[in-house]
Amino acid sequence: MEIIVVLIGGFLLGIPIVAIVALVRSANTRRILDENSYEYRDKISDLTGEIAKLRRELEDIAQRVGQPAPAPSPAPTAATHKVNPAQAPMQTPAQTAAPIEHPTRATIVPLPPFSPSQAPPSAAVPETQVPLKPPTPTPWSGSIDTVVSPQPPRTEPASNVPVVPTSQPVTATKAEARPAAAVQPLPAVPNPQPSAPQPPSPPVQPTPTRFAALQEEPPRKSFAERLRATLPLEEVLGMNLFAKLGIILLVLGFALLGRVALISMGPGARVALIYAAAGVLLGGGIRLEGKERYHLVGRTGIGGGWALLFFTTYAMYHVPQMAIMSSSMLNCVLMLVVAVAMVAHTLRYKSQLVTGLAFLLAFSTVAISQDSVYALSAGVILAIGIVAIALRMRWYELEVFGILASFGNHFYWLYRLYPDGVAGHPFPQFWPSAIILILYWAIFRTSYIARTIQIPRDETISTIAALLNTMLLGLVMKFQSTRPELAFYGILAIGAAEFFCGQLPRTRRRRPAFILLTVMGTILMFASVPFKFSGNNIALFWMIAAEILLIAGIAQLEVVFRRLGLLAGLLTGLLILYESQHIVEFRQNSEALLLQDGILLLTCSIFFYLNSLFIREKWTSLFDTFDGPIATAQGYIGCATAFLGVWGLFTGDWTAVGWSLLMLGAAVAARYLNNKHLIVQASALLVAVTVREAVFNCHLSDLYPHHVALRLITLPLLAAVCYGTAWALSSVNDLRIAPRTVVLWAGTASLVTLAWAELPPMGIACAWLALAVTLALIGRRTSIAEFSYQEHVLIALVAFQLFAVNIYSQSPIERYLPFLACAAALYAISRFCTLKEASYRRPAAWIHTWGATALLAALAWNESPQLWLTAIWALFALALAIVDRIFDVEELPYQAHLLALLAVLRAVTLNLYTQDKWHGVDLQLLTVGTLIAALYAMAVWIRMPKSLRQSEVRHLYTWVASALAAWLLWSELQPISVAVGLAVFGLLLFEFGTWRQQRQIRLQAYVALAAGFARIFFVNLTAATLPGEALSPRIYTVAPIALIYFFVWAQLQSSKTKADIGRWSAADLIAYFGTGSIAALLYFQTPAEWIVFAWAILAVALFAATLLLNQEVFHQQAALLVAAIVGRGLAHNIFGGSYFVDGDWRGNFVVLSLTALLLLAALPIAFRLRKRYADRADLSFLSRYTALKYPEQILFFAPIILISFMIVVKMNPGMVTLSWGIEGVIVIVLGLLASQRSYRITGLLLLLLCVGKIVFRDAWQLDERDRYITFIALGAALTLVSTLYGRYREIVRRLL
Amino acid sequence: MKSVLAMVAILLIAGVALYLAQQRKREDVVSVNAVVDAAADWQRDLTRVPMHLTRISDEQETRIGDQLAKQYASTEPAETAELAAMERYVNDVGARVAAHAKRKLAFRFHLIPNVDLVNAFALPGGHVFIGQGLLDQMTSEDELAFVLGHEIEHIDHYHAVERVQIEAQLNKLNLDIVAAVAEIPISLWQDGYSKDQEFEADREGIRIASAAGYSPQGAVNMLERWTKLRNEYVIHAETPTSELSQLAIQGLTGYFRTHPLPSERLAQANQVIAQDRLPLNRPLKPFHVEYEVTSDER
Repeated sequence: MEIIVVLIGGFLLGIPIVAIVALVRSANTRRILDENSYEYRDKISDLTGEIAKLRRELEDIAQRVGQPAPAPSPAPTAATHKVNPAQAPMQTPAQTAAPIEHPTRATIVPLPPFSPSQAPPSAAVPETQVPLKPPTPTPWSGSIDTVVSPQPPRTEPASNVPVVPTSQPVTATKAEARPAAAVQPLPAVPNPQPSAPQPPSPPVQPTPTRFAALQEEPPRKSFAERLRATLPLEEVLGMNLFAKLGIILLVLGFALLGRVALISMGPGARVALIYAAAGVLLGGGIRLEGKERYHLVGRTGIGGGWALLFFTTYAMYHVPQMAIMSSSMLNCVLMLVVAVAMVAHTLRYKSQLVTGLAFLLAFSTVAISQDSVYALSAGVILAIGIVAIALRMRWYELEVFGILASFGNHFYWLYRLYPDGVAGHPFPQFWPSAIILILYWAIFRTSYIARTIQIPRDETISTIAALLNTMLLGLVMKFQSTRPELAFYGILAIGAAEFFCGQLPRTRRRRPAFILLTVMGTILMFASVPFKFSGNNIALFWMIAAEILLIAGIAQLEVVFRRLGLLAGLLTGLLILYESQHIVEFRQNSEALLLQDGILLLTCSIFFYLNSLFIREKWTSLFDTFDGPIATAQGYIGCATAFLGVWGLFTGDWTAVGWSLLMLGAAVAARYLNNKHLIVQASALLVAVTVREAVFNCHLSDLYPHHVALRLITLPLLAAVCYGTAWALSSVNDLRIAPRTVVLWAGTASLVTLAWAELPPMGIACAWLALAVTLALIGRRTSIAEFSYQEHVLIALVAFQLFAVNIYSQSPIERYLPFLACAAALYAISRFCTLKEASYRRPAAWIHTWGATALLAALAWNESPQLWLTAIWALFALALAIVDRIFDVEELPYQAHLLALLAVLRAVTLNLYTQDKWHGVDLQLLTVGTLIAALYAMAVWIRMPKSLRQSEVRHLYTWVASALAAWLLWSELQPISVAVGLAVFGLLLFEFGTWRQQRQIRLQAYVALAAGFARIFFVNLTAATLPGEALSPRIYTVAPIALIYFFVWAQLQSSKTKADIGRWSAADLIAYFGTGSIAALLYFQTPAEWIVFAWAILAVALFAATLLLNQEVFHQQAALLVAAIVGRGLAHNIFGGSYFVDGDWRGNFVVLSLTALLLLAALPIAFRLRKRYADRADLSFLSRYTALKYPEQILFFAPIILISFMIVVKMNPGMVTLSWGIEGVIVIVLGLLASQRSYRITGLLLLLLCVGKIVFRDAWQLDERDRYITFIALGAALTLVSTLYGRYREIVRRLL
Repeated sequence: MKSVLAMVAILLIAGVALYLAQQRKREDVVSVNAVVDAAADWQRDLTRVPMHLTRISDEQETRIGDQLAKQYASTEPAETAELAAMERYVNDVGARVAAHAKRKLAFRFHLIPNVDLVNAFALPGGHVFIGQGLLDQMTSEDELAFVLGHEIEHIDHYHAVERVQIEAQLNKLNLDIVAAVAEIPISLWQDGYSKDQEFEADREGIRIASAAGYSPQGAVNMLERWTKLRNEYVIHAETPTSELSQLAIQGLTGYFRTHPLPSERLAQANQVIAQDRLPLNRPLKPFHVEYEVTSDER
């Protein structure tokens, strides 16, 4: 409790303290502002003068130069510019070497082109913003290198001026240091007369002028400096606040001294003492106030002295410890005298500080010493004094303080008596207290009415005071209220008084006061009603009062009344809405009729709509600014009250109908009144209708269909009202489009829901479909796009229903019929499902047909056996392609593409792996065969864009079909037959492609042929001959394949042009397939040892074919085959054979010998080929590397290599040398006969090898017999060779 | 017109081929054997080139073979009299066949008493090992003679010693050092040889067994039994996808498969018999009676 007392005391003390501080601070701020204003005014004046002076000087210079005066320069910028030598044409090096950096923030304007005839050099002054000074003699420092800047007349020291060092010494004399040069910041233009060179101008340090100094930014302050500047703590505390606080404390101390301290003193002594103190304070204050240094202290002393004096006077009667006076009247007179004296004296100083301090302390001393209600009369006197001062001096802030102090003092007195409030306690001082409070209010209200306002600030403070006055009166009255039932009368009376004061002629002349008091009075009168009345009566009274005010405001053209009426109506509406929450709560559990509430709410709604629509529309000019939105808000409240009223009157299923009728009414009104807010209200009602309909009228959760009959009535009714609302909202006004759209959707949703709820599940889709079609046609006819949109959504719902419900029906009709009907409808209305001018009509049509196709495809998926679906989809795709071909439906080809793709994917993932039968026939064959046929047909029939058609994209179909056909062959035929089948298939494709001139088909043929070729390596070549087979399956399966390859090659070869000859082509590849097949067949069919011989036959045949057919591809193959013979012979027949050669003449020598002989026998063919191709220039890559021009080399060296190695490995080691010798001789002879140098050299090398072998091996390792035989034989051979060479030396030379 | 006629003719030929092929039993195995076998042949042939250049002497081969055989052959006497009799029996048959080998090596035959070992292998220098499990499959002495002749020919035709040559070259082993020889794993010979070497061993084994007085029908019977067993094991693909999956597996394993298919071996055996006019009608010698009785009792 004590804490609260202390807090309240602190509050009471704090308020005046804060008020005084605020007053002082505001005075200081005002003073500072004034000072700054004066200062800035001076600066602006100076600046104006500087600018005028600069302009004059510039004009003078321009006249001297003989050029037109430059335009006024732009304002100086903060940037520092250097003089750019490049900007000054015709400068001498010496001149350009003296750039000058100006310390000012002058903008350098480029120097105009100089002409010697136009002006003397000295006059060439650059146009800069450098302030031009009158000529000033430059002091000479005595040094030729030093130029002393002219001293600025009134600026910072020279050390602050930056001097830019020159790159070359600048010389100047006193005579040359002319004033003109001193103001020339740029180097002068060279003198056109060489005999009189112009000395370089000394650098000039322009003097920063006041103008420039003003532009300079102040030096950046540190944070501490800025803090000090922002918050001068020492000044605030030491010089200001402490003084005031000190005197306050002094006064209060004396006051307390009177009551508490010096108890032993008598009252008289106390009074005397305190009077003395007051006198000292007052006297000292008066004395000190005259001295400037103690100005503030003096004034506070004066205030404190007067306060103490008043307190002492007051205490002489009211404070028992100091009571020396028995007459209250006398005391009152004395207090009045003191107060008047205090006012009179303090007003001499015209200082609110002094006066405020005096009154503050006076109030404070009264507060701490009062003990009866009559003691508070001192406060009345003080209040009168303050009001008098405020009115006289227009110190309205002081009155605020007075109001606070008066009511605060009174409250403090009450609080000390009744800390918890007076209510419930006997309060004998009620009427005196009430009278004092009313006196306070009357005094301050009189002041408020009587005062004259000169500046807006005073009006603001006055308003605060007026508000405080009434508010504090109410609060304190409330605190001391002993009979709350009388509050109605009290508040009503105060309100009426305030309203009355507001209507006084003097008040009405001051409009803010009139408004304030009228509003306050009205509020109080309105606020008084709930203290006596409750429930609907409040709303009724308020409504009536609001209407009265509104009508009065309109009748008197008084905006205050009008607005008060509107606001009151608004508040009343809000109150009604707040009170109506019980309807909402009631409706949570009951659908009973609420007749009274409904009627009342509808009545209020009528009033609100009258205000919002009728009155506002009739007096439109009166509702231009603030009133319009309030009236609009009332319209919304009217809507809400109507909504609630209908809810009360219409129950159950009819609530939504009632609301929908409201909605319709709002829409119709909006249509005729052109009021957009009604549209908003209709929209809000639509939401309510929709929600109500969804959660109630649909009765979706009812177990027993006792509401079904109502549903059948209300839902169509709601739909009709919605469509009617849409009609009402149909207008060109864009604002109405959205609600109209929503309401149309709501109407359709009602019908959709009704169908969904009432129809059996299997029939819903059909009903929705019918509705969708109807909506589409209506939308098309009425040009209402929403119907089209609804059709789209409905179609989606139909599709969902079909897939969610109908597809699972046990009855085929319930499955087929809805799907087919929906698909048919989609196809049929695809071109009519949107408005004619709709931007999306093409995509919409596409989506419809896509949907129809998807439905049919899905139906097929659901209804057909798994494996047949592929065929059905494929045929469906073909049908779509054909339909598009006939009717030109642009999206159908894409659907056909997709369906074909799906069919292919399905075949790839399912049909290709099945082994099921259908009536004994492979299902794979039937279904995939159908798919293949459809794909080939689609490749012919399907339409494609021109670009795709040109790029042969349609052949994707043929590629896929061919691939599937190849798979079918692979799957259906025996493993060994697959290669033949693929080859035949490739042949047929090739012939068809050739016949139809379709390159892609031919490419497919090549792929099939290549696949057939590869296939033989996986099964045909390793197929074993079964018992009873006369012919190996390898032969009768591979040979036809090879035949096919050669036939295709021949076909291609016959169609080759000259340009194609020698170029690698598919024909060559096919030829390689053919030869490769034969070679592979020989490899696997022939015994391992004889493979080389078989290949040799084939190679010779190929050489012969090359010769006969003149096809170099066979030469390539032959050459490659010879290489293979050599490799095979070496690896297998020579090194890979058995180590034991005894008796195996056939395996070790015959095969290789026959092979070698065969190859050598083909040499004549090779020589003829060499002759044919010797002059051939444009050889292909392979022909070049297979030595097409030198076939005889191939056919010579291959057998020689084989024989030589055969001799080494297979021959008896003792006979190797001899054999090589014989071979060498034969080779040499052959070389001589064939006139081939390479042959002869080979023979010679063989003989040389024999010699070396003899020297390094045979001579040491052979047994005696072999050794001499070898030696002899080799010797003979060498002799023979030598003889031959000697004999045919000339020939050999000629052949070399 | 000519081209049309030619095409018709080709189509007719292809149609006939298709008809003939379709009439065949679906026994053709789809595999990559054609390519894999060809590659393996080439690889075998090419590796024999360096073998010619790094040949070791028979003495060194015998020493190495003895060293290797010590790691595997049991020095302990046979556990039972039956096994001892069986080992003697194998030695007798083997010696009879080995007498017709081209190289004059000291061939020795060892019985491995393991009924789960259905295999035989040869080490360089003349050591031949045969498992008891393989013996259990035989019904005539001629079959044993073919198997032993097959292993003898692996030694006789340097197949076994070539493994030593390759291993020594690859690991840079000094074959004169015993410890170095001990580093060569026995599995090199247990895993078999290349297809061509297997064919050669079959071919020559039949010949020397026949030369030793045994009927080549023993070889035919043995190979037929293995062919039948394999046919029961192999699953023929019915669809392209199963073909593809088998191809993938066979492609990987086929290259590393050592022994040729039994059917191929059987075909070669018949070819050799026909080519050399071997006495196919020679009566088969029954398997060792004591061993048969003993095994039946067990």
